[in-house]
Amino acid sequence: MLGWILQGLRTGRVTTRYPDRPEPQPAGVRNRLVVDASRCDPAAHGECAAACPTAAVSADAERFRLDLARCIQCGRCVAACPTGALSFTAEYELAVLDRSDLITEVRH
Amino acid sequence: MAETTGEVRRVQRQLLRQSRAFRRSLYIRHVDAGSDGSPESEILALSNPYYDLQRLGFFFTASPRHADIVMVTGAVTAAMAEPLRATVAAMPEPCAVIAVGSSACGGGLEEGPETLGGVDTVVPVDVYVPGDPPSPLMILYGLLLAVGRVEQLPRGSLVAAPTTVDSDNG
Repeated sequence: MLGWILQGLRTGRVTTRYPDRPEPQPAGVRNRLVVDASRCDPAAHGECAAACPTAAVSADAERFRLDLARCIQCGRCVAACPTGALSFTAEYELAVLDRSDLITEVRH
Repeated sequence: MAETTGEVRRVQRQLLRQSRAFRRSLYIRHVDAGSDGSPESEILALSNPYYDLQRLGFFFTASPRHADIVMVTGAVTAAMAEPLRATVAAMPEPCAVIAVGSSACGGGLEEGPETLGGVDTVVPVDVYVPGDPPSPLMILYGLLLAVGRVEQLPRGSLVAAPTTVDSDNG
């Protein structure tokens, strides 16, 4: 009993402080897929779309399109992109009120 | 629930997010509409001592008649379309529908002839939480967004917002 009390005092509060404070994310976490428009090259189009298992990423000569509502964060497109335009960020506040907010488009 | 057009519904939901009814404790009903089980494990994690959803005034209930928020997971199979519609119709107004997971948002991995490709093909959705599965924090943010306790971060931009990365916790 006394041991439990001491252990509890030593451990302190374990519950997250979110949303009052931001929550640190582990390194290398794949939360949100983002595209760097300046490095998205229309000449190299197609590799990311071919690698995507859920058709979340589509690309052709005119535009690159990313739909987060279909993305499963597998990271295949990141590995496939020859120009390194795709990457993951540790953002976790991704919920939106409108379906169209989940779509990112790059027009070449 | 009466059929409303998109613009009317948007105004309605904006009013809902500002209403006093959604400032107090809320009950959540979870509906599995053909999910692979991964969002369920994250929703269950919300109740553990680390995330401790109850501290924010959210509780789970087994009846849609007691619920203010319905969380839907899965891409909605043909068999679950009608039960899902009935669940939302049975809820007292005001209510909010949250699509949890990429499959619920837009089909995702479970897209196929057996599924309808997202919750919004059956009932209007108020908050979309992407991710397969979304982490408990992502779901928590979606819940707070649905009740208007946080504002939505600007989306559709290509620039990533800086976030804190804990390098010790690898």
